[in-house]
Amino acid sequence: MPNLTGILRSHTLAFGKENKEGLTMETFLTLVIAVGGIATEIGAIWAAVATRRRAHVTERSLAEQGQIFREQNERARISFEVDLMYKLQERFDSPRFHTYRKRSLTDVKENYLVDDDVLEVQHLDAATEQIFDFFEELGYLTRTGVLRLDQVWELWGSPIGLSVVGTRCQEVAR
Amino acid sequence: MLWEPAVKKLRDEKGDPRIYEELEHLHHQMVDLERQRSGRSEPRTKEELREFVERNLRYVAALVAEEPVAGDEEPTKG
Repeated sequence: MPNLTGILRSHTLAFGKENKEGLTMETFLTLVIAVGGIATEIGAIWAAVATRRRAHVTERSLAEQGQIFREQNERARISFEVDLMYKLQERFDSPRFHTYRKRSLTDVKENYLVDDDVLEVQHLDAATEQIFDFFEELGYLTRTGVLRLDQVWELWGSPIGLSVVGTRCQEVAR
Repeated sequence: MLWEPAVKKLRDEKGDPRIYEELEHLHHQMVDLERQRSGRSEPRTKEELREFVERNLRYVAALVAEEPVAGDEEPTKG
């Protein structure tokens, strides 16, 4: 009769050895898979960081381009404004406009500055109409943003606010 | 405004209430800006207007005297 105990022991021992090797392999494979997974995760994180950095760089580049575009646009606008201001000033200071201004002011002095009183103007003479047309154009250019109000004020503030269009002093005179 | 009756008359005659609308708006802006910058809130006095008219008249009259040919052109009504 065979020694069953011996067989069983040897079988068990043999099985135990295989099992141990199998477990070691399994552990190793698990470890490899785990390391691979971690590496993939790290790779994904780095890819995300790189993508985010690229997006940030692109965003900054677009912002810089936008800023450059705005600066160029503003420079072009100022250049156009200055050019237009020179032309308008030249027109206002032309011999023709000197004559209009002289006639208009003479009309005011002779007909509406009476003694100590200032009368309201009832009729626009031709010279005053020419000056009014000029300021009407100036008003349009200012309202539409082609010319800046403070620049117009610097050059024509007094004539517009005081003389040519008038003043509120007649309210005091009443 | 000093010229308000004349402008109103012109608008009525031409049937266009927008005549010198831009000018009127600009005038109000100029007055507001001048008030902000000078800190002066009261309206101009008659004396200031008279002084301004006379000073500017002397100035342009001197300029016109220097350019008699170009300055003699008759303005046309627009």
